[in-house]
Amino acid sequence: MDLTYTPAYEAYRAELRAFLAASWQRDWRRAPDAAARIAGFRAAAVEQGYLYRSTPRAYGGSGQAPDVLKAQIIREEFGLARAPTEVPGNGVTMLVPTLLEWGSDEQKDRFIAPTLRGDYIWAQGYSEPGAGSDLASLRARAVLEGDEWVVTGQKIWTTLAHKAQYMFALVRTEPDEPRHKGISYLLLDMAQPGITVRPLKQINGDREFCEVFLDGARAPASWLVGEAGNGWAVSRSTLKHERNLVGGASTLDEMFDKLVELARTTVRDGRPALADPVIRDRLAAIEGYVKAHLYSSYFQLTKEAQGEPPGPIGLMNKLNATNIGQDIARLVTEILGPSAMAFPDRDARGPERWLNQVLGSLGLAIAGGASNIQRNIIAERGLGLPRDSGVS
Amino acid sequence: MQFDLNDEQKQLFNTVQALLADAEAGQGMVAAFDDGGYGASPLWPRLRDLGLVGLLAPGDRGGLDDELLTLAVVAEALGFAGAGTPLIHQALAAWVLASSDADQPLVDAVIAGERAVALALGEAPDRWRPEQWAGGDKINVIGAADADLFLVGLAGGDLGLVEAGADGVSVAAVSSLDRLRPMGTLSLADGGVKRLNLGEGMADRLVDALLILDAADAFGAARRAVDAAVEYAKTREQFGRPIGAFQGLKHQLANMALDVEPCRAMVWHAAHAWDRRMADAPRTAALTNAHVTEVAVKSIRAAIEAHGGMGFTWEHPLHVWLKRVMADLAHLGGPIVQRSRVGALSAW
Repeated sequence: MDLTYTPAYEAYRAELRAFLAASWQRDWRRAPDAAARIAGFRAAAVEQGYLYRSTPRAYGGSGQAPDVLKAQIIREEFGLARAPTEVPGNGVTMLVPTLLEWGSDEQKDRFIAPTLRGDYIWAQGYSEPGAGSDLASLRARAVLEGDEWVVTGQKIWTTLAHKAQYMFALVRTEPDEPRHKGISYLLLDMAQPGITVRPLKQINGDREFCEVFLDGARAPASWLVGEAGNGWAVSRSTLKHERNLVGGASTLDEMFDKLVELARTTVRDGRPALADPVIRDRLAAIEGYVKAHLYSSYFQLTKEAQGEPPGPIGLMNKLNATNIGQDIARLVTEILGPSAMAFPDRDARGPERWLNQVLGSLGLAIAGGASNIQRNIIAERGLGLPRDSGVS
Repeated sequence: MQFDLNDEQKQLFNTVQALLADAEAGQGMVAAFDDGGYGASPLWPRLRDLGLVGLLAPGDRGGLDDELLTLAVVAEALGFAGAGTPLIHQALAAWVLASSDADQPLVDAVIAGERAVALALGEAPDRWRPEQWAGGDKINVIGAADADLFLVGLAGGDLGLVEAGADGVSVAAVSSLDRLRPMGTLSLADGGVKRLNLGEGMADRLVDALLILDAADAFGAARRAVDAAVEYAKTREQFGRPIGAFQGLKHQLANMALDVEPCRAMVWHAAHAWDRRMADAPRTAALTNAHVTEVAVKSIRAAIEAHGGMGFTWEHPLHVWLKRVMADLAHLGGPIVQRSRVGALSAW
């Protein structure tokens, strides 16, 4: 065990710190020209090799050799400086790696650089009303007419579809093939008459995800990624290098510290909640899970750096984070007491802003592979238990 | 940045695990449990001869100057195998004595395993730590019946040493839940204990080390129980298929693994924090002990449930691991006590 970095990595950190000090100021986010300043900073950071490290320079990335420890140092230092990181969203995390692995030169030239700059927001057209956890049963149909795909069907839970310029969608192109074999990965322009978007209001009042109605939506034939019928494999591409193994766990660790602050500043039963032995015991119980998860992320980071498989723990990160979020939500609700009767307001400054976490933590249990699907994955791939009969 | 064991530690883990698996094949777990083991365990001479007792003791006194993390790895292997031997407590005693003014021949005899030392720390009803010790009977002294010497926690927070046969020293055997690590109550006459000359905070370091090693032992035992439940679910058939194909059981097994697996890194981190004397090492020891032992008890109970009626028999060995981790959990006060300490050592 050695939790320090070698001198070479510390030198890299020092260089990065100097760059951040010279190139970014925290209050720029509130400046009238914040968007331009952020874009300028990102361009400089790409130039220096700090962002989009696994994307070649030809496509707007910085083309660095994979190094998970450098990636971790970059996350730590950008976090400390509150500097803008890579553009958030599905475009950067899902579409770009997919195009890098499967895309044609035309697709890569056309889409990657603007996506990395944040010029394009992408919607992920996967789930359908009849295809949730059983995604391979999806029915949206694409037919080639001349040099265009024509798509008919419906997508749902499509995050930011109402703001997106483009969608990457899974559609059925070979209806006679078995479930997984008949699916293709297709890019769609959202601004066209064949697409109607209806935002859905979530339990926290936000409108982030949408229904998307595809009624003769059109895409050029050349916008199909990979081969027709191979979309299931294409959609499995993920970022192969420098996965963010620690980010989620350290965010939970920070949230735990804020939970302690909430207990300190909330009066319950005539005293600060933090003075109540029951609350203290429950805080320490939650912290046990938080720290076990955090240190497990460092273990996985090391395994990744050594090029060794992490073992079953590598399949547990999402469910662990979900469970911890739910435990925190339960304790928050009790600490808040009557304040929990207020409706969460995104702009609220008081303790009721925690209700965003209380309600939002439920979303994590459902989005991106519901918790019961996660348990299947752990049991089947991690523990080697037999697959459910009837599920293929 | 290397959050992992080093090659020597990995190799030691494999060596100890192989030795224990080999020995286990010779004698059934339940038979060993019924025999009571510990000092008389056939495993003990083999572990001692690997030179593990001197692991933590300083090199200039005949020890190996190794880390608590290494000892924790051994404790995990012992917990996994369900082996009851004096190794861990003897190694801690060797470390304390070798760090004190004790004579070199005594240190040598303890490291060689020729003189058995039991740790006599806790006091009834609820005094676990040096600042709480008040003198009087020492409870839950593991290996008391086999001991030649006792390392005793003294009123005022010091540590002392007393011979088993000395005047006024008596041991009453206690019918123990974990028969592989049987306990006794130690009664002492006033003034019979020789106070050891030790560096500041050694008694606290000793109790913190025990908290971490109990957690490591419980983690190993819990891993074993999850493995056993998974294997059983793959082979036991009902309704014409392995019960592990049913989602209800499958999800219970996933939840068990989900609780247990992250404990590995938590135990390693606590041991590492102790080794490097990090400022929050005592708090980390308490947090880790509470979390890991509680998770272990919960998971082994679930593993027994997953075995159906067989799991509830004396004949099936799972109860040996359950009783082991219940002892690990209760040994130094239990999660309520440890979490209260976490709070007291926080800025909370």
